[in-house]
Amino acid sequence: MARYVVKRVLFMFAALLVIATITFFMMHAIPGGPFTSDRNLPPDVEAALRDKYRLDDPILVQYGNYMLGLFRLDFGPSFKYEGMQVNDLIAAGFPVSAQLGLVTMAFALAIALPMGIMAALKNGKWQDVVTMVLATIGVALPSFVIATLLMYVFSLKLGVLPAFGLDSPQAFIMPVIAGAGFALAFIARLVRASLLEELGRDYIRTAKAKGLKPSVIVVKHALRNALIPVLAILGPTLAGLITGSFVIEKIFAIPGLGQQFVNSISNRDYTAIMGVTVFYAAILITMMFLIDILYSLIDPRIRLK
Amino acid sequence: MENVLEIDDLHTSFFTRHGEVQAVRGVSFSLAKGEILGVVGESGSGKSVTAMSVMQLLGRGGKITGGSVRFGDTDLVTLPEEQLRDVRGARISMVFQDPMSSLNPLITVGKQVQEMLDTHTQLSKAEAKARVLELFALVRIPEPERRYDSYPHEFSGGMRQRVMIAMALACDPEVLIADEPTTALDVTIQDQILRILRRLQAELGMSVVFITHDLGVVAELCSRVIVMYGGTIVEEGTLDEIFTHTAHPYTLGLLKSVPRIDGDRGHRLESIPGSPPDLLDPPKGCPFAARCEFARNICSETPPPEVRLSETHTSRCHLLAQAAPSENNPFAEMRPAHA
Amino acid sequence: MTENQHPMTRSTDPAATDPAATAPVVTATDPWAPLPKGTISKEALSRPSQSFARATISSFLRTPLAVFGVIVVLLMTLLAVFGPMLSPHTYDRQNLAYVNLPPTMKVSEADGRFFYATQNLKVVELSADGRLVGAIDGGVEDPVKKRVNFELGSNTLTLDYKAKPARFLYDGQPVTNTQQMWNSEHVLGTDGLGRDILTRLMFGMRISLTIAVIAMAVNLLIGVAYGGISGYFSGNVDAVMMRIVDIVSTIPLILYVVLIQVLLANSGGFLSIVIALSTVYWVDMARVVRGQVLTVREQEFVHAARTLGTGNAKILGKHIIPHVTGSIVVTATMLIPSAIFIEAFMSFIGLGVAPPMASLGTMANDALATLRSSPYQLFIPAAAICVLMFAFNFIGDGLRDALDPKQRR
Repeated sequence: MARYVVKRVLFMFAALLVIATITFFMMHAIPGGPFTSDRNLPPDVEAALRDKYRLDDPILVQYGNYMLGLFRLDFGPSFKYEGMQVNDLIAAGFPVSAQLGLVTMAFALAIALPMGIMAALKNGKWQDVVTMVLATIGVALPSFVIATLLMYVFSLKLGVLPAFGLDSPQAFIMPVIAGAGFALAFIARLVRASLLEELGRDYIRTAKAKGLKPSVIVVKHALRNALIPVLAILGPTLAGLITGSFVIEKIFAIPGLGQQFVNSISNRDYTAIMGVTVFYAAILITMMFLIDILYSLIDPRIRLK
Repeated sequence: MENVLEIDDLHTSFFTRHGEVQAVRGVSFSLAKGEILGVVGESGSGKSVTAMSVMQLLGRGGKITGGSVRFGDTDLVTLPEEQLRDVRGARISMVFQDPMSSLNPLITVGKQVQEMLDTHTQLSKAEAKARVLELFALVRIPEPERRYDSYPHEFSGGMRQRVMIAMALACDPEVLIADEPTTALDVTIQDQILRILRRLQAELGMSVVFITHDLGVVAELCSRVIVMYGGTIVEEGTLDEIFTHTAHPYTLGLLKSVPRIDGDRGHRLESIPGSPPDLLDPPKGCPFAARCEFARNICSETPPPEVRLSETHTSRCHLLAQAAPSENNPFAEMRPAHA
Repeated sequence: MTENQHPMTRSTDPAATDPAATAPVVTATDPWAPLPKGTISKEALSRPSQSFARATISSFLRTPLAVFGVIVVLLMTLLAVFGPMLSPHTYDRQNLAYVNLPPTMKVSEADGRFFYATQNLKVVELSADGRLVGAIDGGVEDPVKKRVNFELGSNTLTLDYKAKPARFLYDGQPVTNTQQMWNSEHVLGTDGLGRDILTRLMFGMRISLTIAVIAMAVNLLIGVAYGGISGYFSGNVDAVMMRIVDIVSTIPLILYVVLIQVLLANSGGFLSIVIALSTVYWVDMARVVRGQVLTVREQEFVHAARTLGTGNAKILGKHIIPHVTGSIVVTATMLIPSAIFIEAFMSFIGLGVAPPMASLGTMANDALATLRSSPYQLFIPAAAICVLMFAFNFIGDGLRDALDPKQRR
């Protein structure tokens, strides 16, 4: 077990290193510097800026400095906002996104799990059909369609929900529903398929032959096994939700990390783009690591490997 | 002799996309107290479905469409699900073919056996655990204390099957149905499992229905044999009657396909050509007619009646009828005189 | 066991079935003559065995939703390819006189002429059959009374916008004769620059579908080659290649699509989005193919080919890959909707194809600003995206079920 954890941690760092490197060189491969694009700076000012951000150092020196910064969890200064650090941008955006993301995840799970379980238990009946129809809609509908539709109906037409921000509890309703749509539908489908598969297994027949109650068979035997594949997608899903959706945050004007990222792109704030990318990757990898550990605690077959 | 289980005219079908598969078509037999009854047949003969019908564990699309399964005073077919649960495991229990998949991979084997006791007995946790350890010792699982907390994947196939047997015997059932319990195992392990079953049957005195496609295993273990084909019983008799007074062409074919160490060296192993009938649209005559080397016109038209050859021996073959001609009739000498 | 001990026959259903009892039934043939071989052919395995491909297709065709998906995709492809050619409009021609005209308009009839007021208080005249006659110019605004006056020859048309919706007065008299009229020149209306939405929609579908299909094809090639090589050579090659896949799959792909697009921003939106989508989403395909190849390579026919001295490339390409087509097809089908999805998504955050080109995502993005006044501009491309997503999802689900022999029964 300890060896497994150590191996996973090492892998985590290797992956992060690779991601940071790719990101760094991609950003530095962009033709023209960050200051050539939209600002017409006097040559001496630009030179001063280039000097300040050490853009005239050899690329490998810049890379080394950047990586050293990363080890100190320092993403460097923002190109766009004078005197701002990328860390500050993340610190401002992440809590907002994380809060919305956690609520969204909780909402998605609270709906998807019972829905998927019920669909599997009532396989072929109307509950199943309804669930599958809803789940297909949820998987196929892009979040911006759900978001704009909701906004049009509830904010613009009916005027019952605020269209912007996250200032009141009601303000969460639309971003949460729109943001949860895909995850909810996907998890519900997965739970259903996984539970159906487990219910058809031989050990379930054994459990029936033991004379166990159907409720015990489902809860104690089938469900535990069925939730393992669900757990696997929970990591990336949660990571995606708590780091903020570009689309949802844009539509509802939520000042989270997603919007931060979109702004960085339109501002060509390269250090911010790099910083947010690496940060996002770190969150994702950490989530996947935690899920892996959880996995091995639940499934004894993994522990040995 | 007292019968613990009496199955009468059992019909079981699976309703699939293509239609109704009549897996069991009118099977009747009884199981006496303390006997080991062998049920033999190839895949698709309906032997496993018959066993599943007794326990009503048919799975998706499976349904008993007629007949009864009398167990003591009750008919299991009409028994409500809740009362059926008190029978399953406690009074009739099962051992399945594949010990790899029949145990829950996420629960320790000890817990899985103990679950049986938790469900059907009032034993305390400690008593139940002690009973599990006792059962493990009974089926010769080494180091029961340590193995109690093992997971199924840490066991070999034979050891898992021992766990399954321990589980099945946990509540001292009156009937044990073993559905090809040795098929998935190595030959040496098979032998160990058979010994355990035979010893425990002798010690505990329960009745056993032993389902297999292996006549060799039947010869070793059973006192009485049922031969099934195409969802029906084609021959039934004592071990000796089936093996030495064979009265059905299918049984004959099965016997010819079993290798014998004691037989003469020149003895050729034969297989039965063809494949079992399509039970979506079962043949109206004898199910074996299409593959039978002695088949007559009547065989494809009329289902053969049950012919009683002795108190314990019956067969369903037209060749046993009085009217059947003697040429090319392996059973000419056995034909019973008309009453 | 009540019967006597003599061996005897006992019929379950006497008379009827016991041939001995009913003995000489006069039939054309002798019941005891040997049964000719092959008389009974009803055996479980004798059902005509279909080839795998045919069984898959017939199973697929029995899934109504999947067939529906195929029809929808075909229709939309036809529209995307030929629609813009047949349209009298082009996707980029602007007409500032006809800005934000919806598909159906509430027109007011006065003196046999039909007038429609746009959200920005422009007035457009229509003919009786819904064609656009022209914009009415020369309006004089009276900000106090909140009115705009137009001189039409000797008559005056007044647009009163004091209350919403604005209403017309003709020579001072309120026009009460109103009707809902289809916009027969721009069936789906016009956008904020007066461009025909139907034409842009068809053109946008063309762009979106092209991007999706190219992305799918490139991902397919990379994924199949990568997964095939990894699975075929197994051992160390496989270990290294799969570690790389593990790392790539921990990379938040959508961010990389964004980064690649930022990197390639100067080469135009279309190319950069194609490159971005094509290079990033092969990981799933590679995993699927590798898993399948690992099992297939152990089968006898592969050993046989190897024994015969067939080269690795040929074994992989000719013997192994054809055996894993099923899962490749399913994965590839599912790649198309995700490519459409991501393209729309990218366009929606402003990283799509460059204007005046249109994709479904850029159309939706452009329409967001005027959601309140012209919601149809958003709903039309959004609906098109949804229909495409549904259709491809149905096809993918149908294919997966059809290719899974367990489901086929």
